[in-house]
Amino acid sequence: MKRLLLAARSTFAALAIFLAAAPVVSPAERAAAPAHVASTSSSVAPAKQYRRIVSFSPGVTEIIYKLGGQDRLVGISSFSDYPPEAAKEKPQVGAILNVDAEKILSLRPDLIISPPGAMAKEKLTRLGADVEFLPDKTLDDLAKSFVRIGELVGRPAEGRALSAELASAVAAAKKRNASRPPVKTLIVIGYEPMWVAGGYGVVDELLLAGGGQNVAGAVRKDFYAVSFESVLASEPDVIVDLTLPDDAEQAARDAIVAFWKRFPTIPAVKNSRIEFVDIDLLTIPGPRLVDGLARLEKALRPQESLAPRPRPADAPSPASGGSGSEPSGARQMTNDASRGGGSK
Amino acid sequence: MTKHMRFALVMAALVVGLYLSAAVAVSVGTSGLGFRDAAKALLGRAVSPTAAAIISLRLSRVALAMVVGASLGAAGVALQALLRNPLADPYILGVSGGGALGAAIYLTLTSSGMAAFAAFERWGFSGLTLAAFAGSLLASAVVLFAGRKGGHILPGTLLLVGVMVNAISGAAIMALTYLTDVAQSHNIVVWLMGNLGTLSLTRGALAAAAVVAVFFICGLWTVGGRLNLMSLGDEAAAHLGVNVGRTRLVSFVLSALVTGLSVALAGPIGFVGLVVPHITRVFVGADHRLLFPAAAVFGATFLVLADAAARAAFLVFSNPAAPEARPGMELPVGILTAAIGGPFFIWLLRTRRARYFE
Repeated sequence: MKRLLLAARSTFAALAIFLAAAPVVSPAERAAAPAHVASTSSSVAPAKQYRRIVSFSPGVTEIIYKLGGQDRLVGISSFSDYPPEAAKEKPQVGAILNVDAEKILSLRPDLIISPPGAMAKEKLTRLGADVEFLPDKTLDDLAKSFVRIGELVGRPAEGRALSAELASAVAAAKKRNASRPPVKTLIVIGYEPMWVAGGYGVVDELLLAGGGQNVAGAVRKDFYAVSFESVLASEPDVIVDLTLPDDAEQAARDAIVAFWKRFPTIPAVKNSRIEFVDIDLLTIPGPRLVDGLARLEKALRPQESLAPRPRPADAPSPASGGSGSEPSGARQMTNDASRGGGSK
Repeated sequence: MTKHMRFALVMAALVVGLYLSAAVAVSVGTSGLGFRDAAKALLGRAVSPTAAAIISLRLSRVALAMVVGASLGAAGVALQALLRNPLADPYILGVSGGGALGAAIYLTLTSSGMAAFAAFERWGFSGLTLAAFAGSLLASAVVLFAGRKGGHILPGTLLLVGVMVNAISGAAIMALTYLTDVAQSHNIVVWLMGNLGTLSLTRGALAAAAVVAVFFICGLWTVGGRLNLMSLGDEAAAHLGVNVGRTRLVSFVLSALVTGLSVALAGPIGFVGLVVPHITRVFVGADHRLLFPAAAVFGATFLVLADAAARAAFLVFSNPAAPEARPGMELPVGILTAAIGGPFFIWLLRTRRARYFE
């Protein structure tokens, strides 16, 4: 199989040289040529039917399960732990840093789906399977990737539906929050050094849609190590902590709140607005982002979400069906959300 | 000019330099508050609570830089004398490798959440700090045990054992970094760069660490005279009444403790312990009785300035017209120490005073 592929590749190389030399071939035809041999990340290529797929990211694993294509999934990346049955029934093939090439070869996949990146490209392209690199940094990327994965696993309608579900959840949230003043928010994914969500990518986009303003948004990265001085200076009204799973013990939450209490000039600390959301809901680029968005919205405006629906005019919101609506136990309720920013 | 007057003058100049560097450092940071705000806050004038909190944060950081810089400067002097090697630095005897391994094990076993840090917090120090300190002490004990023969420290053996302990720790750290998940391996790498921005350290713990560090540095200072004599050779020193073995033991143990403390507090900040003793020697001479306090104060100054540069690194990219769009990033100070210190030291080597190294 591998040898065949290599043969095909060298044939193609010869062909490409020939084509490049031949003036009769239009540039467009030449550009289209690679699609038949190697994999591409664009959806230009007709969706070939794949039967043995390896998922190389937790997000892709979740998407495939959500679409009902798991019978074609033969291997998943380490750290893919959702849905729970995935980790139980599918063999693990390592992660980008330590790809288990032997394991992958032994699974005889015909397709590997992975986020793009130089390291992924180097390690995954020579394993005898087609490789589909699907960017997953922004909501736009995801809208495309949901559709594409639907095509690849033979469930195109489901893929398009999932893409539409996420898009309409985001649109509905945007509409709900359009007329409200944005809540100055800091999203923390790690302490020591403190890592926060910057102004690029899915988490930032969901925060904006959910009615927040990212106080760490000046740095156009998805996550970065922030200077704590800037955290103090930015005076966030809400701090959303993503470092704990939803089933974390109360003591763990208390420890984080106790840490923040040392910095009482931060409005979010002063008003007890340290909120907790499970990191997987917001950072795994998959179907659970819809739940993550709902949780984020609720974290930003806890009292308003107690009301059944803030503005009935916006009613048909597909986001409301999410499983993320359970009350997360230890929420510090606030009694002050009306303060403006700019207390300098 | 008598020797004592010269000593007093040099130290006075160094202390003034330290104060000036501290003034610069509290006036620099990602939030854009400057000297005027800092002065107001420090003089107790009315500033916004946020500004006061920011200046207080910078002050803690300056204090930590002083503790770590002074420790590394003094320990560097001690080890260069003990090993009679100009390439020696405080990390050469396995202290940093052991500390880093302790930190890496801790980071691998816990999640990246603050909860994990708080779970093992004792006396105002985070579990990470304590793990690194324990690792440093353990590595030093191994080096001391393996670097002795017949009850005597052999400098050459000690040096090589130290290098080996660092190599072994390095292998273990690489294994952990490779096997743990991406977020944690990133945390390990960042920790290894050295950083003074630790948030888990409380004021009280910092003060306690400062007292302990000063105590150890003064301990090193007391063996300065004996180290002078030992530079004549072991036998000559012994004839002059120096207990060579005991002096080596004391200077090793004290440098290991003070280095372990600084590694635990700020990670293995490179370069300071190597170059600060050399720079100080160029200006004050090789008399260890003067070299220890001078290298400690100059080390503190150097690290305070390097950290100020680390915090200002990204300010040059900010747009003065849009202060809210100022990027809230800084560099780990370990990047800056070598980046600033290296060229400065090369320049110094090219000047008239470089004869010490030939």
